[in-house]
Amino acid sequence: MAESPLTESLAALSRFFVGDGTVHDTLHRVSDLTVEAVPAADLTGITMLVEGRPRTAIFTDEMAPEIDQAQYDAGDGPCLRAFREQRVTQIESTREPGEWPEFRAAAAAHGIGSTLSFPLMLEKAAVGAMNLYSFEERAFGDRDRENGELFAAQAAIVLSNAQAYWDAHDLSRGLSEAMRSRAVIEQAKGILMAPGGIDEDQAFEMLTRASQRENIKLRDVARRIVVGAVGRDGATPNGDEASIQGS
Amino acid sequence: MSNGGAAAIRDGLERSRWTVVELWRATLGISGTLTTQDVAELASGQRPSTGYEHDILASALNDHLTDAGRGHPVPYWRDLPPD
Repeated sequence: MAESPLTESLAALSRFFVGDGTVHDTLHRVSDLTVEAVPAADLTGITMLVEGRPRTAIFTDEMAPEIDQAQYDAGDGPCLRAFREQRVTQIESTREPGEWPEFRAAAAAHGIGSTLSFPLMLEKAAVGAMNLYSFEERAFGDRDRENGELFAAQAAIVLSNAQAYWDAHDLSRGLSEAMRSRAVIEQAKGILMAPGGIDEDQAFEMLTRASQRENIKLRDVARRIVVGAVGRDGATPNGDEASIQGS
Repeated sequence: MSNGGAAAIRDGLERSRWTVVELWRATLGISGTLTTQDVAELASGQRPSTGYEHDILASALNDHLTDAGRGHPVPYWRDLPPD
């Protein structure tokens, strides 16, 4: 028996491994599958916060962000309403008067007849909105709303998993870098403390003074001290070390 | 931190557009031993910092801002006005 478009799309979504692509790739895949899950949709876009402002982060057609810009400029529209109020929002005909006239006009000017927007919910908070557009007026029926809601619920989980995966990935990479930089600073502090008379906090303060005075990064000051100490054969501080100790 | 230290750190966070977690990660790279909760509490002024804790946060921010060609705008403990 043939599977329905929704079932096929949900199955494809469940097989999607978030680690195979970036968050951007995942959003694109979700966006493509949305059109397959709700065949009445001709194009789709996903509204998310980008640097604190709502933007159509991902879309299947360049028209979507152009249309959505009207609601971002006006500060209200169906996608923003779905996102903020966490409920499904629909425009049955963009050519008829109603709420959000700027958005209706922009959509109609691009040939869009109707829209359907779903909040992407994670637990009790919306993380974005999934927006469907059709060239036909009254294209979306009850079945499309039901299917769209089901798909949006799954899509929100996938998007959230992708975000968590890549956040952890970035954190792990950042920590590796931090550990490498940390070693040289610890070594420089040790070198400054070696003659005696100062503790670790004071050694760190000496490094910050040199960094501030020369307007260079702390780890660059530290690296110079370490390189200088390794390169010399006696106990006399090299130029860098002496200048820091004298500061 | 009653001498404007927390405000200076918050200002640095704003300039760097960093989150508390990003600042925490940077402090690890310069020998800090603060937790993310420490960083959040110190930046919000929820608890006073020691001079060393403040300088770790200020240094991490200044290193990042130096990369962006913005010098050392976050004052160190020694540069803060007295209480």
